[in-house]
Amino acid sequence: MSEEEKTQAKYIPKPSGVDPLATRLVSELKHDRGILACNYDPTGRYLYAGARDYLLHRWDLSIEAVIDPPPDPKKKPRFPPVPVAPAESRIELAGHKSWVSSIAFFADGQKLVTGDFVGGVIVWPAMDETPKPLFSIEAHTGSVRQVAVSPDGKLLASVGNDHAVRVWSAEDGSKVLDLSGHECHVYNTAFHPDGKALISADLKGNIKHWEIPSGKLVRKIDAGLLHTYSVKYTVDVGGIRGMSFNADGSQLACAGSTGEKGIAHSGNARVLLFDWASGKLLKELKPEKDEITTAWGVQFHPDGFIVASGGSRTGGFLWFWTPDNDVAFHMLKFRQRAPGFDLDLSPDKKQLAVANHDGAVRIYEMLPEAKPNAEEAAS
Amino acid sequence: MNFDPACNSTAHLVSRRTMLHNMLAGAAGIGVVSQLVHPAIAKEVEAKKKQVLILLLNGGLSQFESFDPKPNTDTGGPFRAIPTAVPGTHFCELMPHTAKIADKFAVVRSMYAEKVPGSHGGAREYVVTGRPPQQGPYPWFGPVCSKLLDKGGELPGNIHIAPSRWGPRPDSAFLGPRHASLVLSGGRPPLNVDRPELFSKESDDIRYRLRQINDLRFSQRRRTAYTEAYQSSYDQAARLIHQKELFDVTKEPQQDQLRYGTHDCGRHCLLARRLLEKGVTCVQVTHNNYDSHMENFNFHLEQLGEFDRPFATLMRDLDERGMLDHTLVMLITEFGRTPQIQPDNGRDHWPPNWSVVVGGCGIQTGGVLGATNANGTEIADRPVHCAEIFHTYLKAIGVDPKGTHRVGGNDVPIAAPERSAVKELLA
Repeated sequence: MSEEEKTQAKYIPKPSGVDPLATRLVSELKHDRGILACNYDPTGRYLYAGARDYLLHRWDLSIEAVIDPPPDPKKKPRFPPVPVAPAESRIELAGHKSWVSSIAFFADGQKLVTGDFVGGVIVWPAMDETPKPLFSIEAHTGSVRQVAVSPDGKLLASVGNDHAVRVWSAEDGSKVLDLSGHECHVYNTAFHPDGKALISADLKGNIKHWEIPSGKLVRKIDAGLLHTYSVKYTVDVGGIRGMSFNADGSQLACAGSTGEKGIAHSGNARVLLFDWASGKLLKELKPEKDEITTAWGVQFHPDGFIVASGGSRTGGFLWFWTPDNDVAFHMLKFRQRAPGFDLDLSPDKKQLAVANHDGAVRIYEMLPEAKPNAEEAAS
Repeated sequence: MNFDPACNSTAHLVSRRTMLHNMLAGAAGIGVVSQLVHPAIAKEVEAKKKQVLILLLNGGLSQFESFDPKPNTDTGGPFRAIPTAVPGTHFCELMPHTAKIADKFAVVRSMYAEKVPGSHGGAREYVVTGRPPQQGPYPWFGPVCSKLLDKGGELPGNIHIAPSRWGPRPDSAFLGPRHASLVLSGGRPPLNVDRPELFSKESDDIRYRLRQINDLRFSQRRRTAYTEAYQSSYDQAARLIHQKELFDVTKEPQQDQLRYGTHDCGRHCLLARRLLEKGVTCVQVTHNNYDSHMENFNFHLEQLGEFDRPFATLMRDLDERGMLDHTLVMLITEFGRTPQIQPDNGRDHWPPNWSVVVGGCGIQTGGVLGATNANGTEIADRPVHCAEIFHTYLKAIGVDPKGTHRVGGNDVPIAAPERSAVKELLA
């Protein structure tokens, strides 16, 4: 299915005008390495990304993307050309000693925290002309898989391949809590919107709920559907790749895949939707048609739908669900055969940024395309 | 397929090509009757007993995440390079223990072969026989060692400590079933080595001798591959009944079990040390799951996290016991992995270049032979063909690689005759 061939879907847009069925690619932020993580700053001016290099990348979205070279009117491309952010809109920020795996913003938008594959965590000033690290933390032995910032901006959390969950002072990087209990790689972490809970999630689908600020383990939530032990290959497959709370914190979405297809290949993309109060699984959200994919990133949209990015070498996808239906009401297959890893909603919630394997952050708009007026059409 | 192995009449002499074709078409797994090794070779290896340790990282070890790191390049992956015991030589940070003993072996970073099959089985056969599998079957290096080095006796000559689900394979080809690997699937001792309680030792011995007499009478007139396999399996079983403690790694000191690690790879490496110390000629340890088409980095983190410490511990122990003087250590894999990082964070198969490690038995250690270019996409210096390294292994254990096996009245070269050993690796 191409971008132009969309599934039959039922979704009634809310007053915001955001319509997932109208989702289309509007610009590309290109780099020469695969992109792993991406985040808008809360003002929407910048987009930060981590890639398969040792740099943090920042694009200035106020610099208009252009179609370059201009389209040749004699040729009819398969897809319409897409504006690309000019080279001068991107700056490279040095400080990490490996790939940047994860990014999280402070709620006030003034700072961000990043984690890398060799245990480093760095806090940066977000809005400086050329940001330089405010401080660094040797946070983990091995990879940092995810970082998070508490809603009040006072705490940072990081998780990693060393099975550790650590909480740090956002002021100076001193260690506040060292939470143990996971017995495998910890893939994800997030603060609850009320700031009183931190959750951590691992390769085997174990979610731990920690009380903040005490660090007491409150309960465990089972997302084991996103893990498979391959008896044939004697390996663990899967894990919680993406995680997100809705705005009021009443629901938690966990992205990943279920089952396995051959050695270490993911099975089918899934998003598990949990009721936060009870910890019960509400829905196992799935694509309309299963493909061998993993869902890598997931977000709640304030209009009430859930969007996830993912894919495999067979291609990349965006899936859209409403919480009351376990089958996606819409799927968008990317033009390029590259999975989408991380994704983020723009501050106005009308656009999506997707970190792509093939070296681009792609911006998708979820608004109906403006029809040219009669004068423009005539010209 | 019946023929008289002792008959050298021209009527029974088959061309090498025909013979190999026949073997392929023959009973799977049984091979043909083993022949005497060429007398000159036999004399050559009599001097001093050599032993061989083969470590197969099965699935295709990534050279980037092990012995040929390219950090901060477009192909390099997220891991750093760390210094080793050899000044100027760096390994991937996933091998910290191995890095500390880098002076005890040589690294070849420029392994290659042409027309390597895409399948793991075919590529593996290429590196363990030194010949393209399309020309085979030829015996794997373990059976070759068993044939050329083993002096018989109670111990099996060729033991393969394998992952679970790895069963016996026809790896001895024309050398015959006697030299096929005794496979310890999952590192467990062979099954059914205990004498049934139904039989007393005395009655069992009488039965065994009776069977031997019958076999001898039968084989004098109708000796075939099948009869040899039959006899051989009984003989091996009889030897194992007396040797079952050989495979019990819990007999090793508790402290050693902890040093190697209590996971399978740790136990298997300690068992390898035990078997070599007891005098087994060739021991192979296979460590699985390097076929990382998806999640290459996670997989190498896990697999090398298991392998690194027991391997380094085993090398240290062999060194401290003086066993590296007469034990050839080969760390091999069937091919490398692609420089390009695939969409699922994986690396695919890559035969154009990969890395191996070789040590002991007089191999020049503490160096790196060959090199790849800055981002590992091609060999930049001193290509080493996998048939050349096969010759080198043979030279190191005191066998002339230009020698021949005597098979069905024909001389079959032990190693690919068009290649030769890598002089830089030999003392």
